[in-house]
Amino acid sequence: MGSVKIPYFYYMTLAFMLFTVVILFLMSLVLGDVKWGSLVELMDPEYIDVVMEYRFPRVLVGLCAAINFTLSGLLLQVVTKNNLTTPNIVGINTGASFFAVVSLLLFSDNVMGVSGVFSTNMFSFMGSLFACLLFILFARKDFTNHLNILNGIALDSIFIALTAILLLMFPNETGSIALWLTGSLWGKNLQDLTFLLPSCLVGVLFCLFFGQRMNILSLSNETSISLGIHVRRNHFLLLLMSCFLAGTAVASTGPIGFISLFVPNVTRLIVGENIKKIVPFSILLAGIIIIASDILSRVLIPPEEIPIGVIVAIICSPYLIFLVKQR
Amino acid sequence: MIPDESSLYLTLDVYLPRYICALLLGIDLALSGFLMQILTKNRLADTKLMGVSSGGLVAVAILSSLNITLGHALYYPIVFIGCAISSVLLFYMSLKSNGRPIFLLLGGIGISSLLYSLAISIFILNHEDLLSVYAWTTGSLNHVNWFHVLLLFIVTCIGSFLVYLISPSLKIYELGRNTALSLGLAHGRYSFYLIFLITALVSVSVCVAGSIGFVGLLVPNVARFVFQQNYKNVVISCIFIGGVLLVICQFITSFLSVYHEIPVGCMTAILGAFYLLGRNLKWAR
Amino acid sequence: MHKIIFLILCLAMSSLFSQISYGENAVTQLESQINHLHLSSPPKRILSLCGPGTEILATLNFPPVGYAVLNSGKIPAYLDPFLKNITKVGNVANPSLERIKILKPDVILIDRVYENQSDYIANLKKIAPVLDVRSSDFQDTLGHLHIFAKMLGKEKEEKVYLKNLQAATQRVESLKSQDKILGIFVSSKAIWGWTDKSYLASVLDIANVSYIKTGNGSQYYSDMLQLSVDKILKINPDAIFIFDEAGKNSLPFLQESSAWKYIKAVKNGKIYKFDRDIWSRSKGPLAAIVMLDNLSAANFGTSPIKGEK
Repeated sequence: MGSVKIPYFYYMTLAFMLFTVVILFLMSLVLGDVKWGSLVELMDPEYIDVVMEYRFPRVLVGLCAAINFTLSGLLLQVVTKNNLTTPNIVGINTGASFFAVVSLLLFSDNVMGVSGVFSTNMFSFMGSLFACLLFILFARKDFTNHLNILNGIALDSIFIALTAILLLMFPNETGSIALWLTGSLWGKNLQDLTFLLPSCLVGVLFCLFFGQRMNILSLSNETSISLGIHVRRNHFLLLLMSCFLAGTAVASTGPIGFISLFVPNVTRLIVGENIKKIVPFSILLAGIIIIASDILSRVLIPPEEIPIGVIVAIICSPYLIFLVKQR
Repeated sequence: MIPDESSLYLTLDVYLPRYICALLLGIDLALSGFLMQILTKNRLADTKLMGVSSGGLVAVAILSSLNITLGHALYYPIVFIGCAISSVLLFYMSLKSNGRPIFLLLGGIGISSLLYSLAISIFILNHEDLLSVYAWTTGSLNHVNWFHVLLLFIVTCIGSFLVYLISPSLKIYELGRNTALSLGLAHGRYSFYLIFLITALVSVSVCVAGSIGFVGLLVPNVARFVFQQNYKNVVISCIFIGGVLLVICQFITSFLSVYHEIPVGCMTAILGAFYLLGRNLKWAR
Repeated sequence: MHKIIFLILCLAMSSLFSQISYGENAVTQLESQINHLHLSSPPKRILSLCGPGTEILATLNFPPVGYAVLNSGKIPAYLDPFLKNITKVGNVANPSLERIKILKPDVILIDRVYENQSDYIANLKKIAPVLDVRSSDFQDTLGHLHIFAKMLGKEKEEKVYLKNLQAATQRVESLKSQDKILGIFVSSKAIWGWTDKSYLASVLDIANVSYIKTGNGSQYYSDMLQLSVDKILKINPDAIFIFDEAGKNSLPFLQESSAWKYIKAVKNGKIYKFDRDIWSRSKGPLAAIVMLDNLSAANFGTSPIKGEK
């Protein structure tokens, strides 16, 4: 499955996908619960108000979060040399969720003058860093060693169990988070972008510039070293970047794990193994999926909204078949 | 008759079913974990982690969305179908990932998370209370009664008897398809037996208690560590260790459940996680 | 020096008083919230995002500009004619903010069911001032009704309501029931019960029907507590009210537990099934009348509505 495709074809596909993303973005701004009749009414200041305040921020938040999750998954797959790795395996998503639940318990009355939303985000991010640190602590010298994945799974399970215990011991205080744990874009506003947008930009730039280096890292360790790349240091960097991206994303929307598994692997099916080509393609594919999911979540049963994690899970579930048929 | 408020009654009629179920379920899960490890040739296979019980969860989700309120024990046939689908998927995947256990593990986790999300989605779309669903999917023994005990007893007894019977042949099965065939073992038929037994055992556990994980991972590995060669002994020790383990877990969680009911699956998850971490630390030294 | 200490003590005491729990001063809290709004004239466009709010407006025959459905996805049937042409904005937990904004309300009523979802309230406050009409006690509901009646100039409707309430109460009182009640509902697989300091208990109280002592609820919700069948056995009520949504039946789930048949209420066959939206979720003035009418229709005190064991 090499990339013997003509580069021209690749760029055309990219351009088409970019076009799709833009169209979907505009559709998500236009489609929604409150409908307007004619084009003239679209210029109504009231309408623009609604769109700018409710639809635009949430689509943007969803887009950044999806890109973050995708790139985080891709980086982890490079580090562990395994295409099926997701941020779940390192325990980032669940660590962030655990810390978010803890923050709800501690700061349930907006103590310390910090707004509730803000402290949940901060705590989620701290949680993902904590999980990452634990993973590194338990990790053996070589990150590609599959024993590390086992450790990650163990950490993941511990966090899930602790989260479950907290949720069940204090159901009244934490009940509202049960929906967040499935991934939701409800009520997201521009304030949620304060951390998310910069981290997304950093992630995208990082992956675009380090594409070649990541290609080399995907080869065996000896080859990488002989080509002058310090393997352990780079793995460390990629791991931290992955946790950073996933942590900020989980902090704003809650864990939407599948995108990390689905998008990079589907991209590999289409584009091949060259990471320089995978990165832009998967960014655009993640955008398409999340914006389409956002439209569906808002449009299917107005005025109610289906949580976006549910829609992404349903969209990605046919991938189950691919997963089984692989290799 | 037993007076209704006495604590003796409560012990006999309320807590005893839970502990008997814990014992039986421990045996059940340990054996199904053992079989799964043989089937997938992977020491780290576990029924919850790899998604077999998630198939059953989806089946229960669909059933409760259709408002079918048969007693939960009667869900068994439909849950059996759900678990069968996911175990067949898993078996198919194991065929494709020869010699690379980590791929199977990750793929199994992928299947498990996807199916689990589907189940949760169905519950959400039906306006079910998420916290209670969460408790149940983590594996809870707090709603069992004597009918559950009866069902579990029948299935576990028959199941463990059958596993004990085929355990010597499993040693040959593990040597690989060609070797087994050359030694006279009908490899394909045994694969089918394994899938059937795993599905039967796991689906009864989903019916009774939701999906409890990690028992199937821990117990067979410990048992094999002690009795490396003789699979008959491995099966017997799985039975003992599994039963005792889950009873202890249930005991600990009932202590923690002073105000709210904690699911026993949380305890097994923590134990299993420590096992995984400890195992790796030992190797590294 | 002493003056400073005195001032500090005063501040500390006043901050202590501001932490008063809900059941006690809900009425004065609502009054002070309304005073804080500094409304020049009574609000004309009210949006109700909670059961009690919608019911108060229905009692006073003051149509809101929008309403939210309860967690079952529906509203109680007796509100249907009142809300026929009014916009639905979603459910209580996450309503459609777009619709709310476009309806341009003057005031939004909530009862902060998800109290710690503070960004929910922040989002609403950006659109219109928010009033919290939460009451864990029926007396508070009546107090809220009175406040709204005065504010909206609908005292006549309030008097009509109180007369109907009186009649319904007398019908139940005449049944002279002696049983101690426990009200429970099942949420997927967890059993919750109403405490003796809840809306349900106080409605039954005005009709001289006793509610069993259950002990305290949780820290934030003094009116609910999580139960299991053996805990219900320890409480041992004379009659149990099970609240189910239409089409669902929690009784088989409760019967699965072996402790169930030993409860006094079960042995005497006094298990009653009522609609969960009306009895458990609404918590409004109209729900109280419907509840009392349900009780007198069940010939409560003499024979159960369904002789289920």
